Amino acid sequence: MEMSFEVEHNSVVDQERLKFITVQVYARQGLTFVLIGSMLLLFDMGRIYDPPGWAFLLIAPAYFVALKFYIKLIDRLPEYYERRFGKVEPKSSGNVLLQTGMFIVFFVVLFVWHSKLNTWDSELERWIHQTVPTATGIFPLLLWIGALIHSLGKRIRFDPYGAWFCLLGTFATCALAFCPIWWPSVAGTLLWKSLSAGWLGLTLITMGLYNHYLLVRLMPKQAGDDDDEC
Amino acid sequence: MMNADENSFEFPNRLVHEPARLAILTVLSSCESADFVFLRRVTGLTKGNLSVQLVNLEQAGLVVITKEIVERKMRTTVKLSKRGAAEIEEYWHTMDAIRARMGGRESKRSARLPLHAPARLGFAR
Repeated sequence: MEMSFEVEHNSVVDQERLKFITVQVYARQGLTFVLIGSMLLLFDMGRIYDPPGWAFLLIAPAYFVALKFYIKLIDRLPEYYERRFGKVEPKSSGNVLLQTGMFIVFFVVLFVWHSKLNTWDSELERWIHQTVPTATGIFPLLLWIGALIHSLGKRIRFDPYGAWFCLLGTFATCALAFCPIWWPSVAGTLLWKSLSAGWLGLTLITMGLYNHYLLVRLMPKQAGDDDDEC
Repeated sequence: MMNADENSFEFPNRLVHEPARLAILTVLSSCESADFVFLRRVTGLTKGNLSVQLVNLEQAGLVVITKEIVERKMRTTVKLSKRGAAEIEEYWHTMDAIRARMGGRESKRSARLPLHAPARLGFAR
């Protein structure tokens, strides 16, 4: 049985959809991901295109300007969301003492066990690169798999294409890692090197754009009244 | 034919159940507070309708409305009161219970309302 309630203009009171919209607006996840992703992409590209020494004199200021530009954009983001969607305050974090305690425990564990964690992490990386020598790194894959699992939950009711989008992303990440195994010549191409280096940035940009597009699509169409404020 | 016990549903609070108010309260339950502009955007209500619903909710003690002047414009901020938070949570529990009971009696696709259910519960058939 489906519960649907007419609000106005045939929009539906779906608890999960409303929660998603509210969280997207106060977390500003969509465009924040896009900005962070494009910053990462820019810096990762710098690692690939190893310029000669003298070019550093030109590139360093350009990076500095780009960084300032991004910081300004991130600073302007709340204003954009407020103007476009309105202002939402996120829920207060709840029990501050408990959270502080959890942070302290986390850092104590990290301090005591850091050498063991480093060993496990190195072992995992070594295993990944032994198994798939051309792996782009585990983090983008984890992001896509996490997003795919999340998209198959309650979100699927208002975002039926999200799962397909995440599946495509996961497939693309695996394809990027595995294609040099089947076509070794690909690994030498500039395109593959660029994609491989910048995949985390591209992942964040793609996810951010999708989330933002979904947010805009889920917002009901506005009726009447130009003056918003009451 | 259903017996009296099977027919004894606990129906949700009518004040909360009205779709426009339900949308407003659901949004407010996901955040600390929201301004009038956001509530209007996310619910799709007209300015007049939203104002009326907010006044109703405030009079019922479910929300707290604050007005302030920001950059020479009036900003209206709404947040759930403690009573409002309890009411909306109670509402969704009640709806889950109704859904579970009706789903248990028949298959999910063919679940029907009890014969004496108020006409405006708004379940899709």
